[in-house]
Amino acid sequence: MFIQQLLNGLTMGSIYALLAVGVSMIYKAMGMMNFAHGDTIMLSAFFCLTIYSAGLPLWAAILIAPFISAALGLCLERFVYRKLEYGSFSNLLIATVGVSFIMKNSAVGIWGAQKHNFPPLFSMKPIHIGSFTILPQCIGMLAIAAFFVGVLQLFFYKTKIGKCMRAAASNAEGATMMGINVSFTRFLTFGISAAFAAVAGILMSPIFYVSTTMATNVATKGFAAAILGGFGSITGGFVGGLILGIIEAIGGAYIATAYKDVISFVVLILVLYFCPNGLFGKKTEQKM
Amino acid sequence: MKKKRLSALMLAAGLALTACSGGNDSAPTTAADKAPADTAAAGSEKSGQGEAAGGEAAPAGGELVLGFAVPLTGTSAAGGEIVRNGLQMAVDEINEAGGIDGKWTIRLITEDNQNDPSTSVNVMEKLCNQDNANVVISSTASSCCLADMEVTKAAKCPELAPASTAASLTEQGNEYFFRTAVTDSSNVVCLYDYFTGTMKGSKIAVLYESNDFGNGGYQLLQDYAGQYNVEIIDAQAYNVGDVDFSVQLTQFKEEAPDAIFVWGHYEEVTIMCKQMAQYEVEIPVMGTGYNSPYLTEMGGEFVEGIMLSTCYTTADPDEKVQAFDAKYTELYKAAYDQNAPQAYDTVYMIADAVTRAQSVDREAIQKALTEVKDFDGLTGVMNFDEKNNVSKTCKMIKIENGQQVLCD
Amino acid sequence: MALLTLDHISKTFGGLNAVSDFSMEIEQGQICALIGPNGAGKTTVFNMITGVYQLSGGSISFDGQNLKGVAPHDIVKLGIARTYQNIRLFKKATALENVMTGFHCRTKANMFSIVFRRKKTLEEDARIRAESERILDYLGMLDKKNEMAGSLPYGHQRLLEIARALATQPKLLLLDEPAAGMNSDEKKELIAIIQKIRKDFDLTVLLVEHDMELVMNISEFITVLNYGAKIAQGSPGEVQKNQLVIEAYLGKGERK
Repeated sequence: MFIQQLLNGLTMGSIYALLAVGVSMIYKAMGMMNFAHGDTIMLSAFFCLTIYSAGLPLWAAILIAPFISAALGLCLERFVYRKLEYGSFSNLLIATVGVSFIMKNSAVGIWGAQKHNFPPLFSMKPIHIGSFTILPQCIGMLAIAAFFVGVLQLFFYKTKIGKCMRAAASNAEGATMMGINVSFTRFLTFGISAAFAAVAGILMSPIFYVSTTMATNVATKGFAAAILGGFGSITGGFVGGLILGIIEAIGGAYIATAYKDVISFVVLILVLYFCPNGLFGKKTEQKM
Repeated sequence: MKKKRLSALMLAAGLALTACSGGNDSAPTTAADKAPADTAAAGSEKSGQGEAAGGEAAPAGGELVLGFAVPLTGTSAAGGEIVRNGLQMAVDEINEAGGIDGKWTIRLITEDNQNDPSTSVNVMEKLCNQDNANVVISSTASSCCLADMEVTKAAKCPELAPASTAASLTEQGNEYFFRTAVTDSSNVVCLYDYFTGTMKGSKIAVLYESNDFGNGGYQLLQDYAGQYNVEIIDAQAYNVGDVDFSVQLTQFKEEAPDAIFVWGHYEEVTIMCKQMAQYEVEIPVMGTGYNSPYLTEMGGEFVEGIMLSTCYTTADPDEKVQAFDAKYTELYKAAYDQNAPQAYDTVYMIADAVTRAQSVDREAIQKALTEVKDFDGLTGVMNFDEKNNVSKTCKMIKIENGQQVLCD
Repeated sequence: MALLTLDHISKTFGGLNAVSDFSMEIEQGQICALIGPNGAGKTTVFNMITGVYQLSGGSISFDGQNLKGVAPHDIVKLGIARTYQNIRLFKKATALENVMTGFHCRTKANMFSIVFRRKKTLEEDARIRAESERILDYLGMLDKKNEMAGSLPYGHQRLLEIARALATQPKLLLLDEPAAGMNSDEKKELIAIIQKIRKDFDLTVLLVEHDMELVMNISEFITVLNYGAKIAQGSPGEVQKNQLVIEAYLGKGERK
């Protein structure tokens, strides 16, 4: 039973991993947290659902939705965040909170408070390994999340644009003096992170139902998983998400399922106490 | 280094607190959820006839101020709207017929409580103390009622709850609180009767919401288990908003009870059923709390064969029920659950009490309500017991081909 | 023709005249200094040259090109590099990585070669790495190439900023208080380094500095600002004797 519960934990774990990777990516490229990330996920899911309900085949809806999300992200950067001229860090954070409100309420206004079904993306039949059961959707999501981890690592560490983004996030003025167009890297970052949110949203839809609150709780867990794995580390976010999912399942199975949220956060606090940079954060000893 | 540790701890603690609040009926409300609903929602909706100013015990040309607290925004908004529709139907019918006993028109004041206990308290204070309601109706989550009935008790204002089923509501010693929703003990009796009688089962596993509603249900199941010779071999809770039940379901699959009793709402139950199919858990499901048209709409093929206990079903051939169903569907063109007819019945019960007391005074209404005798409504013949619980008889229904049918 | 020409430039912030009617010319190959008491507007002038501030009046031309409307990151590509008063290194990257970022503005990598990592990009990366190490070596910091920039001693961080600026292959190097926080040995080294890089990298240098000994020792031409306006200019000897300058500094310019 223990192994089965471990496997059960991977279902939610893969979702947390996906979200944590998105959060870490934003931090890596922007140096900040985007509190509207969960709502971007939710909006993307609605975009996909709307396209699909309008009659297009599912694969078309899945392909188009990330582009709409990316466009939304780009517009937000160009017309909202850039206007703040990145003066103060906290201004930007609060702005993302504000955008989050607007997104949530616009969604309720446009699509209502209803939950909506979404067709399954993977087979519904379980896979049996010995006496254990694992769902195809879990394996599928793990594979996709792992794929994106690989792609993003490549992007941030090997490509020029990725390196420019990291430089801009580290020190914007310094990066400008190196000839990096910081405005443009930020512009791109919002677009890319929005497209990534769409991927997460589409994968989550069959499990969570598409609704205006679908991503609220999970987004928080995503942040927690990102912290657990070491904020800013993409691989860390991925592993952190999986670990969080497993802890929830084991904690739920052996302590009480009603407390599994609390258990995960207690573990998070304990881990942070012993490793303040998260499990994979670099142990930076900075000279004072 | 220390500073970093401290801020990391605080951040995590903050996140933990957000998770803890998820023990309520509502999904964990972060600050982000609360604020916009306050301003974005209609705020206070004033519908109904009559002029301004609170009419307490209104003199001639009378008016009954009916306060109504309901979630209009947030995760329970869909359910709240159903209660509001049923209630509105009754209010409009009565007012169109000239008012209660031809003397008092009903002025309805509706407020959004977002299914959140602390907002409920604020809303109830407004209705009782600012709008001077003669009587209030409160819906839907039991947690909210527990919170706001403190206000109505202090204001000595009768409060009726047509949609809250937690047993603890009427254990608070509040004589102004009347529950007009079928109580879970009625449901437990109905379920156990069918389980032991027709299904001839003896072992059950329970899956229940981790709030007053679910805990109350589980408690009742335990209380009545001995009487019916039922053994509860496992019981697991879950939080509203959870989407993964693999932990509980894989465990149940191994324990193999004769049935899984569920005390929850359709949002989670439909997901449960879907996962039961995915994990190949072939155990019958029965329970209560998920009698909603959305059950079949969201659950589709996965809720085929699920059973539940209810006090109202359109599978009932009774002509009053059929007439209500036709009118509701025509007016609102949407599906509804048992809370609508319960709300409808509640308004008529209030009207009946006012007619007998010949007064809209709060005390008079309260006394008249305690004297209700065999009130015949859509949801059955009703009486209030000494704890102000309404007693009704429940029926078992099953989902067959996407429709509700009475179990035989 | 002068390499850099500031033609009657001015800058106002709201009601404050930070810089007014300031003109200056720098010839190719010179080491020039811009001095003045605190708040005189020296850093403002730097910011105007590097495109961070838009001019309220006047114009700036560099190597024959008017800099009006050119974005800061593009000015770097034109050949003006700058170091900062407070260090703007990438603290969590190594010294070598910091220098390597400087080269990127000169690479020709387009989208495809970036994404697909063709052999040409790999070769270019290797070349950049070698060049960066050469610069570090030149400044005597090669042994520190793999250390986190944030954990280097302060003096080395300042040197690293210069190394990074050199990587952008500038024609004009603006140094904003390069000697701040240095002891007298380090300052002697700094003077030697500035003169060396001027020769070896074919640079023109403009520095803002408070340390008068350093300024007098290294500069060929000095311009003096006070309250946003030019009050004197000329060789070190001329400026030292200028009455206005002495008054502005209240005796700070005296030779020891």
